Amino acid sequence: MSCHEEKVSQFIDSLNEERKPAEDEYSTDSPELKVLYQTVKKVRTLKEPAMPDKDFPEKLAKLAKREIHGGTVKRNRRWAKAAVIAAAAALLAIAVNILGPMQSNGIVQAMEKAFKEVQAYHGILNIVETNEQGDSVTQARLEVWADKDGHYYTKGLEGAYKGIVTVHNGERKWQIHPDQKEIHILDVFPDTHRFVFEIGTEINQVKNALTVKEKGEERVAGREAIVLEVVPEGGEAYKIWVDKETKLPLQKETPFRNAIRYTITYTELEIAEGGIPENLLAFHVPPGYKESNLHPEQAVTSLKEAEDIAGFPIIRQGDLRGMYEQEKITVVKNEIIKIYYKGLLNRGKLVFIQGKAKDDFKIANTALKGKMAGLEIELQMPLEMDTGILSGGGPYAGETAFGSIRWQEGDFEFAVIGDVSLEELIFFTERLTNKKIEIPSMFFVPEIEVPVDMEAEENAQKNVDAGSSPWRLDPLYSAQVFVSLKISPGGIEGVYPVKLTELKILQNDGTTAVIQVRAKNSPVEKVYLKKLVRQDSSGIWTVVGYDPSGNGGE
Amino acid sequence: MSSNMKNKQTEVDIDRAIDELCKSTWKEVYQFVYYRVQNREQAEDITQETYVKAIRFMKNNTIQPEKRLAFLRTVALNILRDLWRKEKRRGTKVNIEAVDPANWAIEAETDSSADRMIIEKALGQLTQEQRTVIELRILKGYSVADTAKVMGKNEGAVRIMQHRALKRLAKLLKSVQEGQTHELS
Repeated sequence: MSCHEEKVSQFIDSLNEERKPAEDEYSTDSPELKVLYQTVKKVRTLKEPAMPDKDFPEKLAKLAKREIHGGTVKRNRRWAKAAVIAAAAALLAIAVNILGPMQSNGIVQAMEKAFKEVQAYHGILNIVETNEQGDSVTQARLEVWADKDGHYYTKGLEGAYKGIVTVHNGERKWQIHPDQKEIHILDVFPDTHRFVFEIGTEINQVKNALTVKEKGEERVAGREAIVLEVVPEGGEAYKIWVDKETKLPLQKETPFRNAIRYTITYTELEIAEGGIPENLLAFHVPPGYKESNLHPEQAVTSLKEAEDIAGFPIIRQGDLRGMYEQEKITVVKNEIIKIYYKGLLNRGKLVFIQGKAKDDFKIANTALKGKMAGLEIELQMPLEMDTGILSGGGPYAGETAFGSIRWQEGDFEFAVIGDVSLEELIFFTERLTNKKIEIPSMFFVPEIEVPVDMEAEENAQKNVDAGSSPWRLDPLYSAQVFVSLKISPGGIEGVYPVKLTELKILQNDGTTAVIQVRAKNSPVEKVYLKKLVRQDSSGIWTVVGYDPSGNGGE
Repeated sequence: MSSNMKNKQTEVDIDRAIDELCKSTWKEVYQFVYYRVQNREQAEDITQETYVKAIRFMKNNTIQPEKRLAFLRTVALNILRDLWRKEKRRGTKVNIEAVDPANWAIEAETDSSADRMIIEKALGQLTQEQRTVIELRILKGYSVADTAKVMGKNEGAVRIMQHRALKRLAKLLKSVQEGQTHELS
């Protein structure tokens, strides 16, 4: 027995006894042992951890208290008075830090409180781009009106958006392009045109940040401001300037990304007591303007109404009650039905889309292939390509926060899109359709690799193209031949020693396949195949490896 | 109230706050450490060190209340990293200032159920015998002798089998990791 086998065994024994092992993945010099120790630990994560004795939390607290009280007492008599003052100050600082709301938390709370009083605001936003050399250029100036219900009106005053007006009034969203004399009707969800530095969003981000530190005071846009350094979860630190008087954010400086940093400033900001002026939020087409609606969505009041307009029944077998709430139903161009849902546990928004299938189902190259009750499905996370029904339902691609699942069944094509995780998207789709989704197994690692002669494989492909050996187009038959030859290396006479019924396809994504062998006499447990020469339906399968079964397969 | 009395009161308040902090967070921190060391002895030691160092840091720095657990996990992770780096030397030294708060959330999520799912799936790819030896030795905690009895093998064969099974499992897990890296690139 090798020294490694013994060492791994000792490592397992130590962990089983809940002791620190004599050697672990960090102290060993052997790369192989390092990997094996790590693997043992990974397997152990499937177990519940061994918990300490009941008094462990008390012991912890005792230690922590000793750290605090032991470190604040000074014993030098000469400096007694100063020490008492220092100790008191230290205690006060500790009290502030451990007990409750923090200093910088104070400003965060003040911002929240100040914004609570604000119903709507009006300001001028200046967006400046700075490169690493320090050269700055004003990228845009925007007039902004916004309220707490998510309604807004923005107008470009300078830069690329000069003259362009974007409005979201809760029900509709549109953009006025004076240069083209056009009004573009936009999707309300997902809202891809929200402006930067929206005050409510900013305050929320600061509130949810990991740390907020005060970094002094500066004057911004003629006003006294407190500078905060904010570190968001999973992000880089940025700076925000808060008006000392109004306690509202005035300026934001983003970290450098691709050598560019943005400084966004409200050069003017006022509270709009009466809300956003109604005339700004009212939809009207100015004289001489053309209305252009690339994705017209007609809101309807019931599923029946949607079905009548689209001319087909909505197919949903599942039950979403208690988990998702239906928000609205729309019909796009009289041919696509969209049902909007809101997660009841803050799970984001999801949209179910159904329309008639127009083309054969083709999965986007960037997508993951999956199965849903025998149906092929396309999973995109993030959504990168507007394929099939997704191309007719609104512009989604490029919305990195969005994912999609798309499939066809019968005469229809369906999709689910949402600003949620892939797991959530699958969870929702499974419940909506009452069908189980399977994502192909991630494993394609044969224990024993079979050397491949590519020249011979190319010739075999030519023969198959010419009509001989058609079994090579089927992974199951190819595996049957491979296993049979393992059992009878001299050649197969008569019936195959392994029946087709003893083989099962574990995975097959069209170009790789894994076949399980359930025959008792088989020296092989799994066969791994790949389409090496050609990856379409006319490509032959080649065995590239196998897992031995313990019946002499090695 | 005299300044002495004020100090006494503050001390009592601090003790209460520490009790509360430890009570409300110890389990998560301990489990976070255990997940990485996989033995109680080290998990207890590192958890204790984490609180001592965290309290020392909190004397002079502000941690938002809802971020304390994330902060404690980060301190624990830093102690672990330092320990791993200096395993062959005596003593540990942790530079809490070097803690990158931006990584707090990321590190906290590493022990996700997705990882467990991948390990379970990888175990499912092993042969029946390999799976049995892993289950008995690592998951059920059987000794080599007991495993040998259950499986009807000798002890030497069990050690060889577990070594092979782990090698195979490591290969399978590596393939997932590489696949994911490829997907991300």
